[in-house]
Amino acid sequence: MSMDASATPPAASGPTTDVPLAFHGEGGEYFRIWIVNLALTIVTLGIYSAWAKVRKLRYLYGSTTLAGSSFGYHAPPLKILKGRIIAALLGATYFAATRYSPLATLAVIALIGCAVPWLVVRSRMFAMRMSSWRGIRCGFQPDYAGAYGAFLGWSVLTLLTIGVLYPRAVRERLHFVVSRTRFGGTPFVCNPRTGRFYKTALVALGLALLAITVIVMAIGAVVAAGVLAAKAKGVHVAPGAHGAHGPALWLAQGLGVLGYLVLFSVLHGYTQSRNLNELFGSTTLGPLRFNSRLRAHSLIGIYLTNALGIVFTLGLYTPWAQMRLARYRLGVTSVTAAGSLDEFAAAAESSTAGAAGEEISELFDVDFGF
Amino acid sequence: MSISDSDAGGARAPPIQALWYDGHSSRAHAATVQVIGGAPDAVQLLIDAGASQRRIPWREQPLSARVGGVRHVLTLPDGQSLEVLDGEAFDAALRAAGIRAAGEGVRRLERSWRAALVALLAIAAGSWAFLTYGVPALALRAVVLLPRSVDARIGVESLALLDRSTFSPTRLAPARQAQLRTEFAEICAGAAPDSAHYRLEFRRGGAVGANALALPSGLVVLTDELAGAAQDDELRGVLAHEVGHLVHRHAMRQVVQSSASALLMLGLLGDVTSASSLVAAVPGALVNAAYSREFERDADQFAYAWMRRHGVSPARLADLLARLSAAKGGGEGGWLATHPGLVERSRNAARAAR
Repeated sequence: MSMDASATPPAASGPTTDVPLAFHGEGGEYFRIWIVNLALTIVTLGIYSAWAKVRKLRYLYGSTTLAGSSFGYHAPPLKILKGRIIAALLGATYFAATRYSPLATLAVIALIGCAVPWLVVRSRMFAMRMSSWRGIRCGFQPDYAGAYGAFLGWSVLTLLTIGVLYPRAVRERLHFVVSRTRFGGTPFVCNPRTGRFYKTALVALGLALLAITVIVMAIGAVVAAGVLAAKAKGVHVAPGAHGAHGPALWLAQGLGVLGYLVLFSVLHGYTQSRNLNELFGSTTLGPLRFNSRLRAHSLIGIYLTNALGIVFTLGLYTPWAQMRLARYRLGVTSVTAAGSLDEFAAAAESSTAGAAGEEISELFDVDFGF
Repeated sequence: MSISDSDAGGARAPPIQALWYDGHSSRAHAATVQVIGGAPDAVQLLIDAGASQRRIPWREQPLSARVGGVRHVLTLPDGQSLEVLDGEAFDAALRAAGIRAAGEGVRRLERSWRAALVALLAIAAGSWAFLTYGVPALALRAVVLLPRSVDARIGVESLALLDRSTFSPTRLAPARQAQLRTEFAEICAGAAPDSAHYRLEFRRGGAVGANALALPSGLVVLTDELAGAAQDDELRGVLAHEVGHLVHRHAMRQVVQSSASALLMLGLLGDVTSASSLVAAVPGALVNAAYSREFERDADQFAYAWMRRHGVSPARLADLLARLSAAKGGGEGGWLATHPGLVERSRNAARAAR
């Protein structure tokens, strides 16, 4: 990691300046952090995972700088451990329920479904309270009614309309999360255009159909060629049977895997680039505007090569993949300041200090990493 | 510096560049920080932010070790904070003052390539041991807990899928079917507490050729092709082998084991991207191939034991394997393809025959 030690504090910002975010994380350095913490997590049967998460997030936050100052992550690992224990208990409840009756399973699924919006709010509050820049903490407004509308309400509407409202639901969720977030005492304001989400979803649907057609045709051609070749040799080929053999079937399976990766990368890369650009472009924070200039083809390329790298190294490439993705995404994100970056105030004491109400709710401090 | 060296209360490292934040606004103030050594509980931080200087006793400053090359961000009293720009120099100053940050040991490991290599080898060895010994043992217990209704559902669905994709109705004469069912029932008798429910079905194999498979829910499917290619004693061996799969509930154990190994991989690789579920499946597939070879050995053992008890030489199974292998030109496809390890199995059959 080569964070310039001699970095000087930023000069006072001019009338409008475009200030880029920068990411300094390095794959080799992060690999050692990742693998050592993974080993410690395994050795401690998962208990260390909370500490591991904090160290990894401190690296990711601390490697990100804006105007010469890095971001800070301050979560105490014990609180994260508590959240993970609760998550594990929920998982165990679900497993136990599936054993006893389908009805109990449905009840538990419904219960967890109802808890998701609440959990989103709690974990956003936690994650934001633990994030800082220049000594100012972020925050999240505990708007539970809004969360139930954005997450549960729009999901139900999406189901009822067999997916027609899906792009709108995506927009509502993103809008909810961003517009309830604040930096110090200043709230983020965001108003992404619904039409853009529909356009993106339609193009993605077209891309998916195209990609699936190509993949199925390629696999079909290979299987057909393999079957013909096998027939010529008088060998029976058993497609779908467990442990199917023969080079053509291996090739077809390989193509299937590759096809899945291509499909995932294309869809994810395209929709992420379009939706995030729209989200950032329509977001302001006091006098600041945000710009995200993600290019669909660049993001698709990164997703695809990352996935291939991870597959072919049995996962060892993961840390480098994460660094590449973060470097690209943060590198094309910038802040336009119609004024100064120095004028943000911390939140009023009442909303951050350890008041009694906060103490009680801290019992339910969770972080599930949504 | 506005505070002279003479005014220091102890050994003092040179000033280190930092940014100071007052906790009220997002303004960054250029500052320097010095660590002033002394008695273990008398170490102080001297922070000079131009307009304001302050000394802070170290004990008010809990510090956890830096991660990689990121900067120290010290939380000071009254919501103030300090971002140290030269982490190496600050670490050295802390060491000189005899202060150890929490997690310093982990940091040392994180910085060493040798430790990373050891961690990698330990993870690889641990995963291998867990997949080889842990997962099969866990699956055995989990399968006992799974209600039989789950087996039945999976079995019925698999057969329906095979009927649609591969099989066609049998052309075996009803009398022949009845005869084979009687022999099947004899093999099943007393094999397991629920073996009275085991059923034998006949299908034309189509692409799977001369084959027999055991599905969850106690269902054995024998293809016309295999029924035609094998002699009666050999067929009883094949059926005994498949009943062995049923008795050991191999199909369900395979399902549980492949899910468990996929879950392990997902746990190791964590929430990287959604593609990681696929990444997890790749080593899982390799592991499953090894599991299925083990299941075949178990089923063979069951078959040999039954054959010996009923005066059929286990060598007949080896004969069939050899004949199928010769007929198929190298053993690709049919019962051989789905029942791997021919050479080893023939050898075992020969040994069991002695």
